[in-house]
Amino acid sequence: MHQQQFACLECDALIQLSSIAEGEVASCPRCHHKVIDKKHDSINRTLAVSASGLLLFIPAAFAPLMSMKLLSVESSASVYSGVIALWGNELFFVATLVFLFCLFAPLIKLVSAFLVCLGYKFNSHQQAWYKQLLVFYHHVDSWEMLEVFLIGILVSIIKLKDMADLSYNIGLLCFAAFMLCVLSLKLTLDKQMLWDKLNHGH
Amino acid sequence: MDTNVEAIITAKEKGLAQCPVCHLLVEIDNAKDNYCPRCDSKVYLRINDSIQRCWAWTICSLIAFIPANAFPIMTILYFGKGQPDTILSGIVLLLKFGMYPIAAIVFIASFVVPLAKIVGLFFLLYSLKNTSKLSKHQRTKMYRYIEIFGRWSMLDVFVVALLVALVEIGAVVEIVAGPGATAFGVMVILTIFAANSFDPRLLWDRETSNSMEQER
Repeated sequence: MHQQQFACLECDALIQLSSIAEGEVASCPRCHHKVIDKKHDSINRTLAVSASGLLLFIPAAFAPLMSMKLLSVESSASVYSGVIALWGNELFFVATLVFLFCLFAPLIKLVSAFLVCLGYKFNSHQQAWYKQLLVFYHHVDSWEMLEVFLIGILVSIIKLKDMADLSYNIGLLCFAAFMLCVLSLKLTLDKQMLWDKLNHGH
Repeated sequence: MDTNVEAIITAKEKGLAQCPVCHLLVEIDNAKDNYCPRCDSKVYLRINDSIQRCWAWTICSLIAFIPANAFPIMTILYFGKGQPDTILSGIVLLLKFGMYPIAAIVFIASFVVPLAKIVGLFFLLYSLKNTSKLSKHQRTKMYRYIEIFGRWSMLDVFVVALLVALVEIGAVVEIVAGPGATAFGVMVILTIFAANSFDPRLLWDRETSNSMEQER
């Protein structure tokens, strides 16, 4: 009924949209906010990106990011061990936050993006779980903070580099690649297109 | 793409509202709660009590900002002894060692960003009720930046997590996290809630209800 109409999310202007081709972007005439961003080959690209992200999750979360050697004692840290160490310091709230922002939210995002695209491929997008998953994805979307964590790694490296011998481990590479996969979901997944393919009616 | 630029009608004037989740335009019946027929999310013309809620969250964040900076976030212990560091004293320490770029990054991410976010939201809330020197475009842009950069204030918390995990070498050196980290985490979450409860469409609402005040 209202397929041709769209309201800007930032200024509520009603916009009449004719068909938009893949790769084109529509902006609000009043506040210039991006209203629709049609993405190229969204499903296949999202599948590729989320599958590689899922493969990288285990090494990114559990493999040591870097290790430190001081007086011939060596210790290393991973994202997971950071959470555990905070928990051990009795900072339960902070440990939970780091867990949610850096492990749980990105993983859940990848899993739901993967399942949504798979569901789309196998034509199961009229099923209830598919809709639930899209709603769920919308809610976890903005809670992932991997890029902040990466800069956090950089800051801690610089803070420690005068104090001890630091070496970088394979986990750092995996973490950076994992972060890129999660970030590129923003570029590949076209939520609007997926929603518009859903029938609705009362 | 063809859009009608001349006469802008808002969805609200037509009795329509966009579903916040799936972006379907839904007709609003003011007498009852409205739900999106496509994704079953609750749909509303404007975020309910947006201004009040945003004031409340922002004031809470301002209050939480104080312990976040007053309490130590971590202590470096050499042979069991050490002085606790707050965020600001940590930055001073970095400056002392001549690490200026990293000191600037930490200062911006964990002090300037949250403060600017709080002050910015206060400004936006104030500007809704009073006239403002900034145009609606500038204020919308400001809100967009507040939303985007808010997450960066988690930086210091992540650094603490890594340092605590990494530096645990027997009795020689140990880094212990302090209560400031919790206060800081609380503050960041509060500012995120504050930014989310602000409805940018309110910035534009007055323009249509009061055409005397057209800008541009």
